[in-house]
Amino acid sequence: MVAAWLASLALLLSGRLGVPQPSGSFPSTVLLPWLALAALPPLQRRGGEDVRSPGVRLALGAALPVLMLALSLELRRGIPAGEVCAELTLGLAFFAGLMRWRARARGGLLLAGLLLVLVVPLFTAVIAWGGSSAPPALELLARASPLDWAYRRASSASAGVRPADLCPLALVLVLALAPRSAR
Amino acid sequence: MIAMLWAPLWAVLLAVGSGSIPRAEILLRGPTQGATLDCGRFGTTRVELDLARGEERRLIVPLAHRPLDDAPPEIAGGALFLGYREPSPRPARPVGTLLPPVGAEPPRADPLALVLVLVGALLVLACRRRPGWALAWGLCLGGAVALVQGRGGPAPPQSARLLEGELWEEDGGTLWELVEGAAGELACDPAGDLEIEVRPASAPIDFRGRFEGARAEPRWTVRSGIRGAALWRRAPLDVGSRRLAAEANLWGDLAAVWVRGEGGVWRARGSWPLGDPLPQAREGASPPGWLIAGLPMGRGALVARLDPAAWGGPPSPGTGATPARVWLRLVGFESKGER
Repeated sequence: MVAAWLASLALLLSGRLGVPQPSGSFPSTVLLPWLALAALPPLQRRGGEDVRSPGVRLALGAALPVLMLALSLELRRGIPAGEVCAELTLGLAFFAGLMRWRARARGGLLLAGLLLVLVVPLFTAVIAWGGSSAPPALELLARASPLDWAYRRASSASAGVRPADLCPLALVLVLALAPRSAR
Repeated sequence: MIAMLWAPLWAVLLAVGSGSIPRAEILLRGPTQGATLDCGRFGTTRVELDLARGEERRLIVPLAHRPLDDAPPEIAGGALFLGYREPSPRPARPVGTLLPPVGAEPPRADPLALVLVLVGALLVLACRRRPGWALAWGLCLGGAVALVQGRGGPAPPQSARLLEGELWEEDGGTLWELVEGAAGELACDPAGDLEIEVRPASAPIDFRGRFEGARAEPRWTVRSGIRGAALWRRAPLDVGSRRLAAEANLWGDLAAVWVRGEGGVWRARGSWPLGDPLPQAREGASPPGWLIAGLPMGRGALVARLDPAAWGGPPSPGTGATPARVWLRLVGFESKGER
């Protein structure tokens, strides 16, 4: 959680630090590390013991001040309040949904979520990095990931909420509401 | 995500998108509150006009794109597409093709807001065994951050204007063009403007025409759906009897002037009041780099920053005001003894 907090603040302030700043939405830029945190497995092993990761309330408490700073900067940029709030609400819904999923997920559900949320968009990005284009089906799957959603908006994406945003929302809802899988 | 990874390459290849504005004729039939013409990834045109039942109005509207096969855009609302309007012949224009910077810099975080963010993180960490308290602290500090950072409301849109002129040696006539830019949204006049340019070029542009009444003239704005995008419009400029010559300034007060001779050396001339002859060269700062870019070599030139009170072209359509920053370039300007 500390890493996510540091990463979100660093991304937000990268312009001030002399590093090229993402040109897209500030709230989505800040959400990227938090969504990545929410997409990671729920347990971490430290010193031979399983340590439960922070819950949704604790993580939200840590993320909210940075997110509000991003929201204020976005409004100061002249983006309509409705668009910014809709985007932030959707992002927080993704975050809360993924946190719920990772708190409950076991076995197959955990694997499916990891694949769809984290692995597929990263794999697609790696293929693109090599210069070739990913298969359309893979790219379509990547579009359903909240991480891909946040990444697109953080890198010069369109403002507001669009019908295409229903894909990641549907995925998060399915993951969050799916019955707990057997261990 | 693939496209995003290639964004830097696209940014280099398509640094600026430009072109004359395609226009189309539509017929709006009441009852309607307007119509939207969708040009796909290139953008949209939204007309906001209340018409009662039985009322009709023909309109010439700007479009973001005209396809090669002249297929009509998708139309939502009570409008009938009558066809594209052929572009009028492009008038001669000055040699420059400069776009004034419009300062689309992102806003900076307030130091006090940053301190509050840090305090919030420490409080949440201190309450890590009580998640409810951590969330409450996060909400409180988040609200405080929004209050501190939100002071003063949205930053005023930054716009800039450049008056670009060329003095013809043959007959002493001048040709002028106005280039006005703004970040995010720009008031425009599709009937009078020659071109709309957008950076990055891949950014879609959305025209919006608002009518105050069924018979009123529309107020057009153009904005981009991409954050941080900058837009410029080009329009021919009629300067009337205003003139700039070494003998006398018949234009208006110029706050800072630089003159280049045929030798290619820029020299500062300081301010140049209305009616005075061109001041002598003096020690001073160099002209802004962007302002002297792209000027043809071997010809004299003058660049200047206008005094806010000086005439800087007609008011911007829609706002009725002239941008605070107005610059001027005149190619072919000669001053005696300037090398």
